[in-house]
Amino acid sequence: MNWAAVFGAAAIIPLLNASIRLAVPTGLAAVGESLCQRAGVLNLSLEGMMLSGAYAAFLATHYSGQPWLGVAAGVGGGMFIGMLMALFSVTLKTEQVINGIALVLLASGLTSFLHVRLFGVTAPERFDPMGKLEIPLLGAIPGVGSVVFDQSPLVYLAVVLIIGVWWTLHRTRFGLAVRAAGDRPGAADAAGISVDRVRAAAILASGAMAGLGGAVLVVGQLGLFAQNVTAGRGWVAIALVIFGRWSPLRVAAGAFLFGFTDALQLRIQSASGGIESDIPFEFFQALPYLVTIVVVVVATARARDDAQPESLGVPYIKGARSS
Amino acid sequence: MTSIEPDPPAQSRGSGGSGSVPLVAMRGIAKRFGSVTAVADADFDLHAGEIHALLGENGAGKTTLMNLLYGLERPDDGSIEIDGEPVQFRSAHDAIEAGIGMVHQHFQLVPRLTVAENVILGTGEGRRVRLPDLDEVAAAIEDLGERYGLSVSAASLVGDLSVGEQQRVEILRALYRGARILILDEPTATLSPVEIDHLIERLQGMAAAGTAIVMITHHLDEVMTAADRITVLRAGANVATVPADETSPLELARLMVGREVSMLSEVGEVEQAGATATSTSAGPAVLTIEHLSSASASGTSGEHARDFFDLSLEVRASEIVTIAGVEGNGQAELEAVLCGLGQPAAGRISLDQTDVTGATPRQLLDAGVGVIPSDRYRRGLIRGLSVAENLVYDRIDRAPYGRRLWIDPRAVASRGADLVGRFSIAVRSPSTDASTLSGGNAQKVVLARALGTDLRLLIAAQPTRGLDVGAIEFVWNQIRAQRDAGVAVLLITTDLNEVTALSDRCFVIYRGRLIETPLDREAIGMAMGGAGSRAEEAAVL
Repeated sequence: MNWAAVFGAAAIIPLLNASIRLAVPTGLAAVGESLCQRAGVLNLSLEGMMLSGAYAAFLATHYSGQPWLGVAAGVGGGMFIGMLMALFSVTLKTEQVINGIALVLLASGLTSFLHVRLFGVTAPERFDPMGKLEIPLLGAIPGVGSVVFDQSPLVYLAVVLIIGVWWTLHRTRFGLAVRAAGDRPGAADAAGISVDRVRAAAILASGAMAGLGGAVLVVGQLGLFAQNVTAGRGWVAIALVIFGRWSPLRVAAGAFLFGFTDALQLRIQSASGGIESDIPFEFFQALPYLVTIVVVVVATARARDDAQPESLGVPYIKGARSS
Repeated sequence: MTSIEPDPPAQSRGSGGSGSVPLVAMRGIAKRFGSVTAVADADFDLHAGEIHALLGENGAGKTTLMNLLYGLERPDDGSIEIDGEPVQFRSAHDAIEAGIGMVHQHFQLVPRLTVAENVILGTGEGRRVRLPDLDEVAAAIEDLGERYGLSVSAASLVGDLSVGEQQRVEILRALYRGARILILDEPTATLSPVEIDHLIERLQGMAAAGTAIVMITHHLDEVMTAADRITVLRAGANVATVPADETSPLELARLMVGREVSMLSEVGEVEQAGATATSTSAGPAVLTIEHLSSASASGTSGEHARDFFDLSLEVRASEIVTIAGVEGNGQAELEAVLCGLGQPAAGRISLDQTDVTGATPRQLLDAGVGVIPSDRYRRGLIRGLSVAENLVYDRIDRAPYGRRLWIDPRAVASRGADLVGRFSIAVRSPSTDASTLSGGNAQKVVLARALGTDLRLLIAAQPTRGLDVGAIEFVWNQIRAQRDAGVAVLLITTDLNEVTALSDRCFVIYRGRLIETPLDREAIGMAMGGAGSRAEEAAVL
């Protein structure tokens, strides 16, 4: 195995560049989820949102040939699941965990079904993933330029959105309402905030971001759709919210770690001979998930502050006595 | 009834000016929740610059009346005027716009937000996306705090503040939002004596500056020191409005509890029965409590309002000893300790001269202690089990109901059928799910389980809370039957009618301390309101 191909000086910049690229779908979903959980909704439908977004993005791009239309459709696909999640969890106040899991199953079944109905067993043609856009001047900075500023436009969009979520949470009235609704919905209500509206908006925002994440995966990276193409990234994103202690920027850092491990395993896989290698490639594919589990367990066990929103997962029913 | 009529507004000492239109006028207010009438034909008015106390027992409708003013509920009947203009609030938001602020008994603050964030939470919504500069808000809050003597550090997290400081935040929030009418629901309930004095002083300062303050309370002593005028509510209607300097704690206690026997037609007989029972000689001491405390009583300012201190009493066989008191004065904690669910910090509990301090609920059960817990749904029933299973679950590991890993369903069923018959529990069959029981029948199940065996001591906490008249009568008769059979009964209750109907001897618990009182409604009512030192005087009158 050629280790220089993995860790050599020439390899490190492409490796980091790929880490960012691979981190984006999970990162978008995870940061959106952190907003949603801060509002008190444990949204387990995230994988379904990503999958629904990925498929909507694929269909739109396939039929129109316009990748940006695909991106918009991806956002819509995620929000479609979000709308259902909001209807069940906020309007009807039913158990959030059950709703989330049911919606993942729905999205998984629906996308697989539609795919087979529309394209049969022969996979549709791949389209070209969206190209890179090197930012002038900044892209010329040695090292950093090629890592950060030589990416798909979707990556820049993702970074802006992630910072936007942090800003919204800490600098806007809506963000304050979100934080209050997640901790003490009763107090928020008494202060004149509509807890239901805040929570529904947070779920929809989470759906939009997860759907965009799915779209990035399909339009920005793969150029195709396959059954369950998101491969559990939505679940990883939920784990990353816990790892990031419900803080969007720390959650984003966790997503980068996931992307880095993913990029690394791809590199090791090819360096060790790909399909020809003695080590089964599934082992490498499992690495990012294993690392995520270990990191989340360690981070949770070591965390001293209790950052979890106090009313996470508890439907808010006006007038009902809670703690 | 009393001869005192509601006073004309001119009597108010406030700066609102005599004869002026009241700031708030509520007329003929009624509010029903289902079949329960919470407020019936109540009048209330408030002037700028006065502290107006709203006094009454638990359930007299004080909080409901103020929730109506604050827009949290809508009245079924009656009118509300602010500055002489009729208003109809659809939500608290409307009331806040009209200059009303309310500080709830349970603070509505978010612990993980700062003081400043809590204060601006929900304000100006929809107008601006960005939050205002939090440093500026904090400075404004601290200015406001200085002006009214309510200093807080506006940058700290609310969760790091003491209860007294959190209350200041609540008051400052109302003032920051421009409240000229401030409603405080039981503001002293969770404060230490020092904090109470401080609060009353500040409120008087605010009133002097023109704020109109409503203080909901049942503490007579605080009313006398803090209020300009006092409106007494009983059973949802206002009984009287009196200036504080023209009344006395005794008169207020009388107004609060009412002189006539109000609740049950049979109460007359009941009280007679109680009187005869008192004369029957009680037996040897069964329960002895000596210097029992839930916390060290050394600190005076930091002490938690729910603790109890240095309690000593004795319950003998064949007598009912009552601990009366308004909720939140330490009786729930005392109940937990006596049932083996909590550990006392100091003191001793003995049963038949044997030390049982720190005994587990199982040991107490085996020693013949029966418990009717105050929270029947959390501690008295398991709703997923059948009625029969509920009736035996405290001895399910004993013969004949259970042996090793097995239970004998036939023994459980026959015991269930027996108790359902004896206690006339209205269910289709003993195998019915306990969650389907009405309040009265649920309590009968609790009662049947506790009383179904021979007891030495019965601890009955709030045994008739929320029950209808028929069920109350049943429970009372069962408790009397236990006493007559030689059981020592400790009754913990908030209900004055129950105290007079059942007690042989009576104590009042107030701020965690016991005061022995004569069996006299006014004396007990006064002691429950904290005017304990005047209890003897009341007995003489």
